[in-house]
Amino acid sequence: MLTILNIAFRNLFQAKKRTILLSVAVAIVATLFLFLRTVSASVSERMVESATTLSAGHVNIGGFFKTRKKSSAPILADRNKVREIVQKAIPEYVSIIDRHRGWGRVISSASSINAGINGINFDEEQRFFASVRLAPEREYKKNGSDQTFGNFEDMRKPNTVLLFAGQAKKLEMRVGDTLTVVTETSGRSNTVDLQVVAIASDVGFMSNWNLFTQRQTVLDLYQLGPESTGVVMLYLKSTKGATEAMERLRKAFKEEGFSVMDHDPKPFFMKFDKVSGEDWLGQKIDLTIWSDEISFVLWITAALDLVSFFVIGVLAVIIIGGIMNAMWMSVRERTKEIGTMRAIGAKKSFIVQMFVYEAIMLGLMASVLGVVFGSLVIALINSLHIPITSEGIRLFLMANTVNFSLHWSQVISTLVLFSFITGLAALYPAFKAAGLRPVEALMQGK
Amino acid sequence: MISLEMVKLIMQVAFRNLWLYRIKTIVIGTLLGFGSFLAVVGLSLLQDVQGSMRESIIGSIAGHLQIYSDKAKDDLALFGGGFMGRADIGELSDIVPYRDLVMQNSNVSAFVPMGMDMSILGRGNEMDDKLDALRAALKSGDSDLIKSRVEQMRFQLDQLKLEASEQRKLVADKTEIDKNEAQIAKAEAPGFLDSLSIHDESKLQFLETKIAPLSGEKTPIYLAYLGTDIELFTKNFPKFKVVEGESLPPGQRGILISHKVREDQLKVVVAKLFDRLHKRTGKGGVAIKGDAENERNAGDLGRQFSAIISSVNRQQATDLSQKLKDLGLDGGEKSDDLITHLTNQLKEFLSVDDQNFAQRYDWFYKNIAPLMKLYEISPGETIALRAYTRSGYIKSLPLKVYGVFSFAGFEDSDLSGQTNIIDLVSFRELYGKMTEASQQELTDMRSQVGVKQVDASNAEDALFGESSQTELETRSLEAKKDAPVSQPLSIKPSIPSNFSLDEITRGLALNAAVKLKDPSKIESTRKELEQTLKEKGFEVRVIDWKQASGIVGQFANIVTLVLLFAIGVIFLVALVIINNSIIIGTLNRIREIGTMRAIGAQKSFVVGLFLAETGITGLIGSLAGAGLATVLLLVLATVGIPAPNDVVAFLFSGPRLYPALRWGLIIGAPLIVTLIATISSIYAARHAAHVQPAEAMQEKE
Repeated sequence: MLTILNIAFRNLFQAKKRTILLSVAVAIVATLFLFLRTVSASVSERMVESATTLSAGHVNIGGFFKTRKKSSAPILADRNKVREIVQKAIPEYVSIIDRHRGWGRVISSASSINAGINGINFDEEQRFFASVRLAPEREYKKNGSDQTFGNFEDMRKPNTVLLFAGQAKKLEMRVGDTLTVVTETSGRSNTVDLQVVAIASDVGFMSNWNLFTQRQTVLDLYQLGPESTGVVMLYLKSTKGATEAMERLRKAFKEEGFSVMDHDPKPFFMKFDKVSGEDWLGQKIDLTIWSDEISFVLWITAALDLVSFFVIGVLAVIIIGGIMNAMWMSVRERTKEIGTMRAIGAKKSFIVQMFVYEAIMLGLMASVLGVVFGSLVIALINSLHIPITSEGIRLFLMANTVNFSLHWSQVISTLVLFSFITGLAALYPAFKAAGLRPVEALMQGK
Repeated sequence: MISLEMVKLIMQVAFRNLWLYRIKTIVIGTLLGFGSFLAVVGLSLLQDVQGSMRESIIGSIAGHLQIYSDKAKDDLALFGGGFMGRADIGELSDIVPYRDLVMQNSNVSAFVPMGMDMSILGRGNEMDDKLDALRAALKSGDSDLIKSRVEQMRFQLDQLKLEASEQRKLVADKTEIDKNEAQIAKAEAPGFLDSLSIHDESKLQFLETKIAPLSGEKTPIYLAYLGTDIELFTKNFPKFKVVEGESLPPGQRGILISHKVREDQLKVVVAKLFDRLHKRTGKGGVAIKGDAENERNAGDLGRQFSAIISSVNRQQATDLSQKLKDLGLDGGEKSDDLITHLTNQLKEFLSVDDQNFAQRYDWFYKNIAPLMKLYEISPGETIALRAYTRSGYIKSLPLKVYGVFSFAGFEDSDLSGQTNIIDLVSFRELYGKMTEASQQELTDMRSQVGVKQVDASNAEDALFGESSQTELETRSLEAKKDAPVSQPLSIKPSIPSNFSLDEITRGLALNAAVKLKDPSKIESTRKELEQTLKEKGFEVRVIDWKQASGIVGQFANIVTLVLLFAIGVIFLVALVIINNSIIIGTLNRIREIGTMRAIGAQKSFVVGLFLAETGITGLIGSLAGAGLATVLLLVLATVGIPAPNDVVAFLFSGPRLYPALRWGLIIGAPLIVTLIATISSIYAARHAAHVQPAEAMQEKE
């Protein structure tokens, strides 16, 4: 084994120029591969972060309450009972909260937007308040300062609201200003005035569509009783266990006599139509996991992955072509050497291994080079904190500054993949070389 | 100088060498061929996509240029921006001076005023329809009919009772429920419905004013609309076509509903589910069994029988039941009650699988769909739009639906089909710009309204319950729960359904599309217009279609960038590898070169030889690659590339993309590939030429 590696290394060293040229090509592709993986991974991560901060738990116990055959409302009638069942069924939970879900028009003297209205219990929302930050004034005001205004604690007071920087900018609101929220329910419209007590930095793109207020505000707007809520959100240690936990909950709720809707991986607001058309009254539970609630943006990662897959696939073909060619040259060059080795008793498998190891070694060296270079570039980009101004790119990358997250798993998978590809490319020339008859090889070499 | 003789010799040696090292030749030739194949196909498709997107955007609503006020707080985004709700793009308070100036430019062919906004669709109340039917029956005097209508009314009252008990579980204020239940009880009491006749106006009034509101309005739908001068619009936007009903007649108020909006939001759910399954199983070729989305839709379909039941009368129900029986569906357990039996039969009918779906789909559209109101809105009907005016007032306007339209080529695309079209005068009304006539009415209304005061819950009814006949404006933001609110119910001003044609040639618009005679001069014309308007003191922004398309345009840019990036990277790496192969090939032949030099070959001969070898390989390989690409494009041009989803359909400007053959690209790309390959082999060739004969011959000995 060691001998083979030694020989392989010697060969690479001997053909210095060729090795360097090939390494550079493989390294470029490795860098690119790492980069594409990182972009895709950071977009998914931002998605999880945005979703679990703004609109979803790892598992959501939502539901629809039909007080009329032709309508549907995203309401759970008995929050305490639902929470109890969740606690019992998922004892390993990290936290459980519940929020009200409303939708309305938010009007300031300058402008208006439509947004989801999340009614929260301040005391339960440590997770939310830990992941949002107060925005420096410049994020929502032209020529604003770096100072932050407002205080999350003030969200305890009645009729207060938390806006995100993008919303504050559009509505021209500052901390202390008052805005009006109008909601529509089957022909009625209700209105409430809320005081802005905090303006937080945007969380990706989707924070444009959400604002946060006290639970009681939403109850008043929709004239709902205190036992009702919109959704119970369950947080686990990681997103991995979400699907399994959802299935456990499905069983638990069925056992408790609730009707549970079939799993439909869509956000709740895309189900109104369907539920309105169904023939029942009262409560049904709808269980979703975090990704279901943002399914309308999941195509972005799918598209990114598809493009990366295609690009890398084509590049792999090209690399394999290049390496095969180079190996072929190497075999031709060393025909005599191979003949000698075979003549003094080297097995065919030894020859094959020699060439394949040589290629793998080359691939490994090159991809290490590529990964190091790629990581440096990514680190450089991250350290610059480049703000994204185009809304399209914001939506696409799910972030407000260019920031790519790099993980060991990406580095290692790049190294493994490229060593594998180069090894694969060397197989054919290697078998060709091993197939040479010693005598012929010796003669050909001269 | 290299003589002709020498060129001949170089060529001969080059061909010999290529043959001698044929494997290397084939590998490099294939790589170069692959490179030029990719370049031709990739760039060709990219140009096709860009071209079709351009056509989609320009030909649907954007025009070549868009003009809007510089006072705008948001950027104009015709296909939606980052926020939900309306963007503030300022206004052009009178289009006349803008149009006059713009039309003076020799490259401008049209100026189309526009305005976009969003409103809530008043969806009416089921009980009202039932009451109308009851009134009609009473009037006809047909005792059987009356009986069945009264029965229907009892059923509705039962429903209301059930609904009230469900509401009790949710609402904070239970006294309201008590009150409602008392009203229902009154209507259900013996002697109320059983002796009903056409002369019992007070009873009917009670049902209409106290009972009907309890059944509530359906969940509101948001409708986006574009107000424009329909004549100009039709003339200048070739993608626009009316698919059902008629176009807006000039000078008439009205609305054209988008085909996509109607299919998505206004179609009865059972038909929508049939459509979805049909699309995915038929065109998509995905079986129901084993596909999560199809299975879910099939599951949902099975629960949608009530919409069918509630839309048939007794006679139709009997017929339908018989037809289903003929189809072999007898609903499992037998039931004497017609409705229960039909429900069972429908449940059976609606449980579809891969075997029966195609047949059930056809059967549904042939036998059941004609009995139902498939769409909530159809041409000929009048709908009520409710919009918030700029100042926060709620404005309601009845509009006649004249037709259904779509933009040719991308009927199914979400991004393009969200906007409905209304006339400019109605747009101004909903926007909050008063015509002189309505201004007068408003003053009258206010003077009457000021004296009456009602409690909040009635105010809501007053505001919305009758909105289909009333045009009213009241300060909604003040309509808080406990605040006294005015009641404009008694006034029913009749707004004329038509307007004088010159009303749309002047007055307000939010933005305007400009069509050009020569689209290739788009940038220079844009600058000229900006200049002219600025000089005359009009503060406007003039932007091109790409910028005006908002987030869609940005997305298109991102897609283009990503694809260009991908093609560029692939091309670059291909070149590096090709170059590698050439250099490695050269290094291997140092001995041979030494020999050649030793027997008297000039440096220029060696360089020429290497360049010729690469050139020949490159030309043959890349021409073959381009040839293959042409064949592929030719095939695709006849078959078309199907769009896998709606986003792509918008990019393709239709369900399929038919690539065009671009001869410049097909001939140019291989030449460039060959040239680059040849140039990149200069390094290798010079390296080889500098080899000292003696040294070269010693190497590797």
